[in-house]
Amino acid sequence: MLCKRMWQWCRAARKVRRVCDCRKVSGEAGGVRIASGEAGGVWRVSGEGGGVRRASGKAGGGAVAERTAYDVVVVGGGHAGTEACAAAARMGARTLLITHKKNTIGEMSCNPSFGGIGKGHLLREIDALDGLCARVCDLSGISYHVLNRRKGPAVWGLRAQIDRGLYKNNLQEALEKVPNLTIIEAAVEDLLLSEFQDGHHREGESLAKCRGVVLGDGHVIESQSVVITTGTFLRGAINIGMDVTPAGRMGDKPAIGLANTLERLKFNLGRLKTGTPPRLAKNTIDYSQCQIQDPDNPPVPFSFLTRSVWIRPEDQLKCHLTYTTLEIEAEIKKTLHLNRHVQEETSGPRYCPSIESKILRFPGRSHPVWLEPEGLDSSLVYPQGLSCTMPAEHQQALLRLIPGLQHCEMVTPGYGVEYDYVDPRELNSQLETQRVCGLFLAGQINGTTGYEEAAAQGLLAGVNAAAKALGGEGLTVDRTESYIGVLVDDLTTLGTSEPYRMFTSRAEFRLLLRPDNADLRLTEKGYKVGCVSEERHEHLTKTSQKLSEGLKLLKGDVRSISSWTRLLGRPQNITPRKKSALQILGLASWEVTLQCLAPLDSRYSVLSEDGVIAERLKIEALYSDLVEAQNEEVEAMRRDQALVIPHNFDYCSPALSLSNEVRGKLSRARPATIAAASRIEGITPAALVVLLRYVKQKQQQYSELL
Amino acid sequence: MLTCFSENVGMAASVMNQVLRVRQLLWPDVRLMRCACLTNMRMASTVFALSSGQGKCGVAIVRVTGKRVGDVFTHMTHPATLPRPRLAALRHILHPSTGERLDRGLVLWFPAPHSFTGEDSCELHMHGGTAVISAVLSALGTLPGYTPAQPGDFTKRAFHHGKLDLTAVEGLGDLIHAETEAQRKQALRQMEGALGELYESWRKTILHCRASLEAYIDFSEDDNIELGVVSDVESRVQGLVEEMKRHLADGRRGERLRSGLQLAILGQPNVGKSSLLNTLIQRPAAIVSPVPGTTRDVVETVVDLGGYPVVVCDTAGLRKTNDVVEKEGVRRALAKAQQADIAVVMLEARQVLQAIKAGDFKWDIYLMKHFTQMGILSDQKTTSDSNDEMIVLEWLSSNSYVTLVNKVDLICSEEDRRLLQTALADKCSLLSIKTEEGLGRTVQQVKELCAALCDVGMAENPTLTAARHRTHITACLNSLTSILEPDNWSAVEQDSYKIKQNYKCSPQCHHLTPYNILLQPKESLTSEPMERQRSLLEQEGTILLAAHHLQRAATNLGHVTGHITSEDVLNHIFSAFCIGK
Repeated sequence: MLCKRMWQWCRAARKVRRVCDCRKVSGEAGGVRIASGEAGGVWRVSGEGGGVRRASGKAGGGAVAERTAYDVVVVGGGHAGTEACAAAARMGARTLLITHKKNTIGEMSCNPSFGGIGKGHLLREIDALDGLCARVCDLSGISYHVLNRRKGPAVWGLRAQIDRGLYKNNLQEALEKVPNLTIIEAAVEDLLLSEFQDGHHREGESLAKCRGVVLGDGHVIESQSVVITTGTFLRGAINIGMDVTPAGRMGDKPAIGLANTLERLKFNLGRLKTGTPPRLAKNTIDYSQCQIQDPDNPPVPFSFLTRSVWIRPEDQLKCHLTYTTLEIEAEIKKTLHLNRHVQEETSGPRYCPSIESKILRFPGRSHPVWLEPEGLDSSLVYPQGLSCTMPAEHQQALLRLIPGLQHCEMVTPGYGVEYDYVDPRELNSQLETQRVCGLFLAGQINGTTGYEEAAAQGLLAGVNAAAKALGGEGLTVDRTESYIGVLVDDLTTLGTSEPYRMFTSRAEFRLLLRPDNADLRLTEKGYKVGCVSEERHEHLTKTSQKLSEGLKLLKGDVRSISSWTRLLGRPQNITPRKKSALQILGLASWEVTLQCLAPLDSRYSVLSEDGVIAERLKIEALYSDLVEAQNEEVEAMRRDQALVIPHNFDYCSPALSLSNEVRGKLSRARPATIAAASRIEGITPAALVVLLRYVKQKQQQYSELL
Repeated sequence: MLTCFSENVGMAASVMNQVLRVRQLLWPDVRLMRCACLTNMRMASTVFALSSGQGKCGVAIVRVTGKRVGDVFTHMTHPATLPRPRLAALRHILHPSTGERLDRGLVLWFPAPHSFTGEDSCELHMHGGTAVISAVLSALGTLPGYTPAQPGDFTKRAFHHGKLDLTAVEGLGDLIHAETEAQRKQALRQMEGALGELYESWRKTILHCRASLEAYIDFSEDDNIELGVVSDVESRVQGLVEEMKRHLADGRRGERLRSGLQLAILGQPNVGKSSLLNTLIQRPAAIVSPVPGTTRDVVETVVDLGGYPVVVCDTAGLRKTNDVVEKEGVRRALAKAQQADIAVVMLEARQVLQAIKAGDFKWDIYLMKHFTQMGILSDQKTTSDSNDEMIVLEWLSSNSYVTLVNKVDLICSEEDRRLLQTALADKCSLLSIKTEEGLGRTVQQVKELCAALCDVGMAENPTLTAARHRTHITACLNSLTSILEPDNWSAVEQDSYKIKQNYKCSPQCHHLTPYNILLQPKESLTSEPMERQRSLLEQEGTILLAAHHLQRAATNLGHVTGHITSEDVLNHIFSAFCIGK
């Protein structure tokens, strides 16, 4: 019984591979017909009418035989979409970006800032994989400030206020320079799908292959893979007071057709909400009642390739801080019955709550409000901490109760957005949907929040969509090497019930995954996949060579503690123990720098001259002992991650004799590896061993096939 | 632990597996062990476990595997050398830090790759008494980098090194399942009363501390979380360290738990539970009377069933009641049911007969209804779960769940008896305790079940559980201590240094147990009069390191109390702090 099942599975796998092979040939030779028995005809899931029907002439038959105009189509021009299309194009795929409006590409819909704790880590990792946003931030920031400066470099939060206009222009300019990339304005209404296999669908197996998109005017654009990054636009609706307006963002149409398509394909959809505060007129704020936060001097750039940011340190703008008073509580409670967004049960982000929910959950406190400039020349101010959805006139009244804002003018009201998201457990670790082969999702559609989270997913989806089209392995990053890996693993394994945001506490190996070493962790990997430029790779090679020479030198210089104390002028200490220079550099209480060591050895003085290298060595030293002690754990997790569970694994097979509870949890999450399975709550050691056994069987059968 | 491949594993284990699954469905699981694999599967270090059976035996075998296995020979045996590979050597087994002699036995050294796991491994063959075993296991736990094996650890290591063939993995799942369940049950029992409260309070404190530090790291600058939070953590950690030291030094270990399988007798009032107990142990341990609700408390007695020690627990009759005392009795009965390895459910023949006569009788459905009525199954579970059918089916495949229909003597008519017999067929035992009709068969059935359970290692010895908990708590304590007294060196290095020092002077300090070593002032161990120790929480720059050690402390305590996930920490943060921009 069991053997038979495995045999069937193998046959299916072989079939799939044959189909894929054909496709590759067709891609290269151009014009070779794919129509083999298994691949079947072109089907289209209609957006409005029920069920599946054969597409009409122009989308059907003949079109299939032609070489598609694009390898990758990216839908949506937000932070995920722009990274996705740029990454795909970098990989050498002919890429098309489809957006509602060209001039909103790179729009920062909410806060005028990038980075923060955890988010700064993501930005550095995006940069290490040659993404755009970190570099664009270095060209568009107006106030740079590293958070957590005193709490240790592993949790520094690189952050900057960004000029909205500049960011948009710089990003659009950067996209124009990307080869292989075309951008058009259109609304995508539907997906072009081809039936993947005859017979009925088994759980975990792909239902169809995505072969392109259908535009609002009925036009069909074919491609090898599609990345959807619709953000809050998927059946988006804006709430102000009791009014609901269908929209993805103030003034922009929502995406309804695509939502229907996903629903028809039986994707598991959920609904989330988020909000944005009102915007204020700068010249009506009394800053004298606020605290001032000065920007850093010198500003720390986001990109490894940037030596210094575009703005002169002294030209940076200041941020201001004020606090709410208790008076606002009455005003908010008075308007609760007029506030639809708050009354609803949809999950909102817990860490980015509206002022209404802060008042309701933590009454009797004053809450901080950061007044952030929206741009160098902008007359608008963004009051961070004041997201609200009450009727506009009440928002104005509320604002005037806050010190410094007594006479302020509200330019646009705050509003709430509700939107559909796809249960991210539908995705594999390359962000491809398991249901539809060749369809990738990235950004808020996967239940995340934040520009950086979106951009990180966009980059990964773009690289993998291109790899899929061009026949490469693609890029998978895991929890032991990056925050991107933590993000993707959390989402695809555990799913999410609220908008997911990155925190450093989500990473097990926080001392290893630092902003300073993102390039060492990821650039080489990205280069091998093909998404990193020669220039960046060269830069990495140089840096890592200098670093490893420095580390070798420091590790090799072992002296007794007493001689260290003598050399560095510390209180005498009689102990037989010896320490390397690296350990001395890492002693938190000694506060030694490379400059202090410079007199001991001329090679140290050479090292200390390069500021960047000296700082990075010091950081390495701070954590080296603890990181080394964690090495075994990292290795163990990597070993588990190497044990891949077949994507169409049948957890309900009686041969496994798993309990109902475990079965349910595993088939919902469909973990990609043993490591992922072990993180699902309620999966017992016994269940893991059963899975191990099948993974081993699979490996054996694979080797037989090859 | 997993390595006891005895022949009896196969069938008995698969039966057990089904049985246990049903039990998991039946009683809402506790947090403990739910995410057992969350952290332990990824912890890589040197692990050890008792690999011979848990019952009384002449020779006990402890297996150790991992990179630092050599330490067993250099720190724990005399002479302190590596024996020749794969050849038995007779050695003294010593405590690594006190030098105290624990036992004398055979030691074997299997250098990689020629070992069961493919890693360096060793085996200690020693005398089979519980005291010796638990002493050696605790001693192993004090070696740096050593941790008790979690269920599945040995198998996974063997797997990674290509040492397991498919037939060997067959059946292991069941074995590990049994083991996990046994540990979970044992831990549940241990968690009752004062000890449980203590552990739970530690878990809460650590969760609170973790949440505070993480909030301080992730949110402080935008959301003005004050530095006061950190000093609060420091005083809590100090308190916890004191408490744990006291606990480890305290000889009292809570109530001595009886070893053996736990068998709970459940049923409605006056169905004959106490009579069954008295019959099983053949003396009137429990008061029996015709008055429903005679038994109010749990009555426990140890009895030898089929050669295995079994703790038989008679419980109060299950029914919905307003009587305060009886209510408490019912609560205790249900709690007992949750911890028990075997449950014997008793029904009354006349009631069953009535149901049969009412028509459309299905045993599974009847049983479900009956359980719901008694409160074993919650109402929601039966109604909301669409998998009702499945549950019922699995229920019926269960063998560790014995249902008895008592008082058949009260059914006089031949016809009714036949009706009863055909309707129930072999689904449950019919008997009368009063007339002893069918009693022999029933007792035999229970005995067989006990034997099956014992052979798959269901009955974990409480002493060994205590030893394991001790090891984890000590490790937790060490992590917490390194927050308060960072020695400037990595913990690992520090530990190995400590051991070498003590090992050298072992003859003089044999009076030290590993626990009062912890009570010694730090200087005497490290001989390091450095500058005054500043805690990692005092300086902002090292708070991250404190959080790191706290995380490790939480992982270790998690093995005792159930793990703290990053989602738990976030939940705590959002409920305790007003986060948000």
